[in-house]
Amino acid sequence: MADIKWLPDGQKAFEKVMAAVPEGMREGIRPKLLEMLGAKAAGKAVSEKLVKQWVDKDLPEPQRSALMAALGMNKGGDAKAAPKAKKAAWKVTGKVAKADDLAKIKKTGQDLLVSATTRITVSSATCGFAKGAEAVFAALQTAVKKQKVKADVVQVGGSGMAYAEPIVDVIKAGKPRITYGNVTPDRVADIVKAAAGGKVVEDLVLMRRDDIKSEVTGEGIAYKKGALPATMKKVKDASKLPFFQNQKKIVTANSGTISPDRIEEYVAMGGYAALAQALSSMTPAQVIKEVKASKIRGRGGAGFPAGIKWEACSKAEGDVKYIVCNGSEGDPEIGMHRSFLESDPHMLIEGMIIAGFAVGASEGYVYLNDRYLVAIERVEIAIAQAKKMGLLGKNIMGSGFSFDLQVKRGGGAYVCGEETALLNSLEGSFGEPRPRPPLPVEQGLFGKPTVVNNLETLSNIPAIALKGGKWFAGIGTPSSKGTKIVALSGNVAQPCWVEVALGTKVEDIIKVFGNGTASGKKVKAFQTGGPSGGVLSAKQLKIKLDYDAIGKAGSLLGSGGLLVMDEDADMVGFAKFLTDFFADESCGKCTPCREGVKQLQEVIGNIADGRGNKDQLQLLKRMGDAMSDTCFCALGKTAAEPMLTVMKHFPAEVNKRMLKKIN
Amino acid sequence: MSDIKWLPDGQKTFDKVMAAVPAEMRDTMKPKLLQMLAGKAAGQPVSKEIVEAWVSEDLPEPQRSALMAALGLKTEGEEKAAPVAAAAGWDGNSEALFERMLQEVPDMMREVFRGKLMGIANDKAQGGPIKEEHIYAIVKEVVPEPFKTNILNAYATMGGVDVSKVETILENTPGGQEKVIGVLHAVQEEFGYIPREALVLISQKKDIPLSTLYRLVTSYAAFRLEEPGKHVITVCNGTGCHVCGGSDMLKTIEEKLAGNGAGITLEKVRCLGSCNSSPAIKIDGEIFSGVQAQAKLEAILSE
Repeated sequence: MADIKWLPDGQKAFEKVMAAVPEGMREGIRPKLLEMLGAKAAGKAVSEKLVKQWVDKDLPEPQRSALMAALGMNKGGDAKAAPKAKKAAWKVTGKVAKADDLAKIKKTGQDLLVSATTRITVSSATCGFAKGAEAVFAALQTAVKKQKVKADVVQVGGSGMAYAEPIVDVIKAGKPRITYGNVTPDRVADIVKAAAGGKVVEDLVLMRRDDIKSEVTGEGIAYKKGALPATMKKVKDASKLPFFQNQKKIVTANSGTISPDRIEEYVAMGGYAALAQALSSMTPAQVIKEVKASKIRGRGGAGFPAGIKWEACSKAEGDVKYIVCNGSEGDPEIGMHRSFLESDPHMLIEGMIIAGFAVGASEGYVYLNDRYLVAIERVEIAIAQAKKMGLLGKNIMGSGFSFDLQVKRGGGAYVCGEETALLNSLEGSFGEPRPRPPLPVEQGLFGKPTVVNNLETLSNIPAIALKGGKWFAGIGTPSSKGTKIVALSGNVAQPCWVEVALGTKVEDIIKVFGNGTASGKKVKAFQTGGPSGGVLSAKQLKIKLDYDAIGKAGSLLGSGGLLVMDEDADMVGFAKFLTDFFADESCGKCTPCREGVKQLQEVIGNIADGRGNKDQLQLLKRMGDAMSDTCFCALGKTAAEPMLTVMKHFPAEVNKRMLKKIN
Repeated sequence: MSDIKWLPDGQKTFDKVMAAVPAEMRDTMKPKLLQMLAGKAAGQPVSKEIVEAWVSEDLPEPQRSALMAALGLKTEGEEKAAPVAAAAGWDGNSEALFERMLQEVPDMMREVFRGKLMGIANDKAQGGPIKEEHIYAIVKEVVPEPFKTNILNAYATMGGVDVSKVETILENTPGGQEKVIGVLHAVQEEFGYIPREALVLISQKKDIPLSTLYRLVTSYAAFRLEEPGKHVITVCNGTGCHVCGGSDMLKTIEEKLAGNGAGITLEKVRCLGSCNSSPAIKIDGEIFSGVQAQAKLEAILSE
């Protein structure tokens, strides 16, 4: 101890450390600390820096953190954390104590959607971020300031035109809304300049909109007032573009127009009117009746009628009931539910509240894929706003009905798209399916009656509640009512997500929205329904989006992914890829799946390597049958489908491939 | 207690026993020990012999041996000469864990404990090196509370992981197992992975077996058990990207990183949600399409 040499600042720093020690212990601990410090100094004079180093490196937590604070040092962890972009804090205006209060909120929202100055929006869903929307947003904020243009720069959701991202819209009162595509940060200054001067940047402009109107709520914005300015005459009218003409927008009506972080903008487009109507002039039984009459089927995969689920849950005995939104979305090719939710989270929230009212549930959970960080944040903000406004919580709009909602982030397992596995995951357990019966509507989350619906199903509920089941059932085909969000990916010229009436031909979707294949070659195969759906051949391109028609053809409508492959696609390799996927994702609960997928991998691997034979093809068929008969859930039941459908539609290719090494 | 009659040498011997108890526990333990001793004495005045008999016959190990040593009594083990070194060496961090365990023992008894505990550790190792799990097992099976919790908490900080952050997360997330996936996400956000120490602490605080937690983190794809490298490359392995050449890109990157990938973590995910950038790849949080990714990759590799 005696051999410590002090520098003045070192001594001072040490006394600060001592001062942080509780008085009763100070003198007892002093010799020990001096000994430690002496060892650290190893004969050298003790400086302030050395004391700090000693505290940081040698002291145990929690003392370390406390002393670092006492010495005015940053904790090690703080410096490492990347600076997060600061997001403007949200606020809400007003409260909805009764249905009539919505009118005021609506006015606020309308004023936001068409700002008194200029509103410049950046399409900011994951598909936009992937192409650099954040850099464009930052560049816009700078450009507006630099050019001294009075404008609100706002992040809105995506419009579905993923291929043209980043997309920027300029809205000036009385003028058509101008949309630019493929915007880069270095072109942003041009856009701001043109906006200020009432002009258009011609090489970037995609289209103009004279007005926008939700077909469901009848609300919207008339952008253009008076005659079309001469500078905008050459710009294409969106309502005449095939990309929009061929869509039927029910759930995506607001996507790309409103900010997901401003509840007022959702209300301006007629949001929460359905909830107001349900709570003020309908009984729960009436709501269920409308949902049954709509014949809406589950948008997740199996296509079970939602109304029947709701009715069963409403009749089930239970002191507490739950509404669970399935946003697990494990399908590895569909960005659409993610982008949709990032664009308009309130549509889902409104649907869930109505569902809660109908079946008598008091609590809801939004279970989201673990990677959907943007969606999770936006839904959380939306819930907080709805709560603040009185649209969630106790005694909603004075109706006496109370409902609470929270977001749960999943763990990243494909099988959690299966509703009972999802419930296990919500309870903090392993993502493994449960035996049925009991059905979730009888004993679901925490053993209570629970409705589990896909997020797209629930987002359709406000439209059904507002316009009635009969109206909804007028859209689509006899067995498949309403619309479907479809995500077009793979080998297409224009990857995108669109909402079309059920019954639309696959061929038309690929042609009109995807603009054919990216390679320009012919379509060879396509897949619907994610990995669990079968592979279909070009011969079936005329098939309609319809649960039963696609089921009959040997695939699934599923959650709406549509993957396109051109003539060069390696079909055996594709089947092998999907089989590997199932092997990764099998939860291991049941033997036929756990062991079956491994055997499938081996046999398909042989075929892909050119060491196959006819017996192996027969074996695959027998294994497929056995797995579909005996596996516990759909993951295993359908695991052989990709290869079996490839064998069915492309027998010559399979034969040639498997005999490569033998001949 | 008040009915204990002391003989002077009995009182003195008992005081020696008390002196061997760590100071902070002395007052709590005293009534308990007195009660035991009174039971042993069964009404007779307490002599030195009674105290010694009580210590050597009634107390559990390893306290028994330690106290016998403190009282200058010979234990049977001493004739056999207890092994005081790891028979086949230490594995991983096990020696440090062992030493930390001994720190809980008062100075005067430490060497006796060392011999005893080393014997148990060697038994557990069965001729092999002593592993971390053996030490954990000893702490859990042999060490009484509150030392057990003290030691386990101390172990949790020994890997250089600041468990106070985990404690804060746990405090902010009340509730049972239904909250545990949220806790794990928060821990991973804090550290970039899920440190073993965090799992141990979550297991203790939420009363969930460590094996269950381990199964949870390994069955869900979202969680990492190892610290990621300086750069994280995430290749989209979704169907859409596969069709656009994503699997080939993954293979190329794997080949490039082979033997050259120190400090780089390569991961594949089933969809980045960027089907308009297929084949998509995320490098350090930024998404690139396959073509642009090439240049960024080269830059990282040449660092």
